[in-house]
Amino acid sequence: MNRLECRGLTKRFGPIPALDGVDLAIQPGRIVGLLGPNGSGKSTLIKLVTGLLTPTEGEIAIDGMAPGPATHGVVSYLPERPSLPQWMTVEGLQDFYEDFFPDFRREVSGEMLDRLEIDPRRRYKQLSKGTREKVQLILTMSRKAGLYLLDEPIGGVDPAARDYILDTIIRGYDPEASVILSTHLIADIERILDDVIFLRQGRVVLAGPADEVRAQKGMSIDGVFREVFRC
Amino acid sequence: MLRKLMKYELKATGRVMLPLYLAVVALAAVLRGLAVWSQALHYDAVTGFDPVRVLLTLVTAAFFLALVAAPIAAVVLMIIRFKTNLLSDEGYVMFTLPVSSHKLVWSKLLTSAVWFIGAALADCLGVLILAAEEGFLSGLWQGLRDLFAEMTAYYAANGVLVIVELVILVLVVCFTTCLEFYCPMAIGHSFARHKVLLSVVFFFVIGAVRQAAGVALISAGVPFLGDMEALLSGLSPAAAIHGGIWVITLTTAVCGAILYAVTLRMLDRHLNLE
Repeated sequence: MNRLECRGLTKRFGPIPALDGVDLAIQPGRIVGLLGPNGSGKSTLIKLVTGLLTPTEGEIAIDGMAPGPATHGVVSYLPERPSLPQWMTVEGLQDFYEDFFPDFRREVSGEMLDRLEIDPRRRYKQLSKGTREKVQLILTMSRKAGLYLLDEPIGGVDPAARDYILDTIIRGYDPEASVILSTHLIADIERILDDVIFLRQGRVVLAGPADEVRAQKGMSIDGVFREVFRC
Repeated sequence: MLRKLMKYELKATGRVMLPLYLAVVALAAVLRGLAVWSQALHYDAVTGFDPVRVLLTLVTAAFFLALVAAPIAAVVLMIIRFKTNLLSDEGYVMFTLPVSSHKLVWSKLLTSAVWFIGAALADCLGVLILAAEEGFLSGLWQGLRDLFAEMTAYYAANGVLVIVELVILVLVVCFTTCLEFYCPMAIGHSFARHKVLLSVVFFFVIGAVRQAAGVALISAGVPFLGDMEALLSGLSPAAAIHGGIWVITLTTAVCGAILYAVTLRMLDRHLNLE
């Protein structure tokens, strides 16, 4: 069974389509890059899969279920911007995740916090923006989820931490789980991608295994991106 | 899951509300002590300055401020928590928890009711500490018992039942009051821009619709006034008391249920986080 399936997925905000008849099938164990310029519909697609938005038309199935409280137990979502409760300490946030997600691995999050030298006793709002993003990514990746949805996971962090975060993504997830990550920083993430999906104005313009796309176009994914979305 | 949501909601709001309650009670105790002390001291007629009385005035002002601040803070916090926790950035986390929107809203409603009632109790306790004299509490208790006894004897109304009905009414009023704010906020925040402004606009629009519906209902009842008078005159005082409480409770509950349904619909189908 596909981990995620979208059929004829359309989302309109007023008359403007943010997504237009998207068909997708993501298999277990794949790391998928959702790539496209600003306003191409990447975040909208991710929000539809999380259930934060309701499709105008079409269907979404996560492990065969429509998005809702049941799929929230399967999906581990990293939003585009830091969105954890500001008043809590990092330790308190670990408690929060442990309370609501039975698949949360506290020891894994503890190790990652140690490695990035983040003091768990500090309040979330006292952390810098980059550190907040790291904390949220750590909590997201510390779940043993079936599907990880990472919206711009490395956008706000320094280049030194990017490698560690990408290694965390590769090492941290279950081989049976799928990862969808959207980003503009294609050169940084290219090495970890199994599949790529290129979105333009809400439509899929190119999709397939990363190796096949590279071989077919004779260039890196970053190069393909620059060619496809040339201004 | 509702229990867990409430745990975090109470923690988030308790940081503000509990110190306020404590301030009300502590200031009442200090005020009481100062009042007793100032009575024991003699006013210095030569200098005209009495530091105890100055302190007494300051503490009195602080006490009344805390007395007013407790319920106001409960209302403001109820509004702020709904906005920040569900309709702003935190909504990305809250709406992706494995819980239904019903539970998210109920955790807010129940927690707000706890703080509303807590504010009323803290204020009552503060006033009691100020007013309490020897034998005051036993006198108060006896007075309440006499009141119930008289109600039962004179109106044949069950005093305990009336209390239970009033508690239910208070809870229904608390929930509906919260929903009067939640509903327009949920509608206003479904728009892409001017979310707060639109929330305020919808607050007044919903208020106007409620008033119009009330007037329409009363107008519709005018032809039946004669029948209603006959019905009411045939009621015993006890039935009138119980009936009156239930009519208010049910009409408030119906209004709350409509606001709840609209709020849920907006959060489930038209959520548009910033």
